[in-house]
Amino acid sequence: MKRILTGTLVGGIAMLAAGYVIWDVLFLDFYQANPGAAENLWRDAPVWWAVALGTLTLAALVTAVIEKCDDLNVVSGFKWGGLMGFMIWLGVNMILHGYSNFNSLTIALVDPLLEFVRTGIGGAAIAAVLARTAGTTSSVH
Amino acid sequence: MDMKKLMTGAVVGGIVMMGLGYLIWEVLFANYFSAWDSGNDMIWWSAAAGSVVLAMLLTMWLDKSGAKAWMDAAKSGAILGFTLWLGLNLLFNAWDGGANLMLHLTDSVLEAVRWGITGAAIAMVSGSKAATSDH
Repeated sequence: MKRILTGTLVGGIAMLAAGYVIWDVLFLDFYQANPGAAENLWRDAPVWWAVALGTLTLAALVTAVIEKCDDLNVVSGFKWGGLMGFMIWLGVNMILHGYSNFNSLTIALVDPLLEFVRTGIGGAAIAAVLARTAGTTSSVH
Repeated sequence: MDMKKLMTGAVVGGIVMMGLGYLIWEVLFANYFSAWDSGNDMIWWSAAAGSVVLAMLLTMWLDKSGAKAWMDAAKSGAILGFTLWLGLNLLFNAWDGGANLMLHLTDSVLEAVRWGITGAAIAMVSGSKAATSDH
């Protein structure tokens, strides 16, 4: 449980930071240029406690998967985290595009690629911290 | 993991997920979730593609967690579905100006039901496939 909590916290912080750089700095203009049909969808300012809690919950899922990896290192963490981020957001974005005016098809397809990078970075951070913990405890594996 | 098993789980799971999604959100809880109704026709291919991708993720999760019996797969699927959608719904609540937190939380609970049943279905198909290939 301590490993899951540690991975969740470290991964969550890494994902929040990477998410800010990707969506609020680097790709902000791209997202604003390709909106969904829904009007007034976005809040003027996000509810940060919900962003943090949601990101930590997703980081817990990534930690649960990476924790079971035999080869625990930064590269495998990036691959598993990236794969999970890509699949989760491709699936969710396509469903949202199918049911709602939340996103355009362009965003639904590009967003999972950016999530691959973001969740990959989170996965790498999680693997790094779990590998360190594995080296300092005797109860692992 | 075995590619045939992954594809079988993705297709069977995707169909079950789509069917349950229709039953839960379009029939049983349609009035409750009416605030989310965009008023436009649904894009079926997009919803189906999304369901198949998420079913593939669930199949990989079940394989990694070692849940082979349908009851274990139902529990494991429900945990994944609830955790995943709780995270996603909290993010949607954070961004969406018209969000209703209670709707998002209820949605996460219903997703646990949907993913649990889908997990059981995937385990049943995977189990019968394994049994067939054993003989």
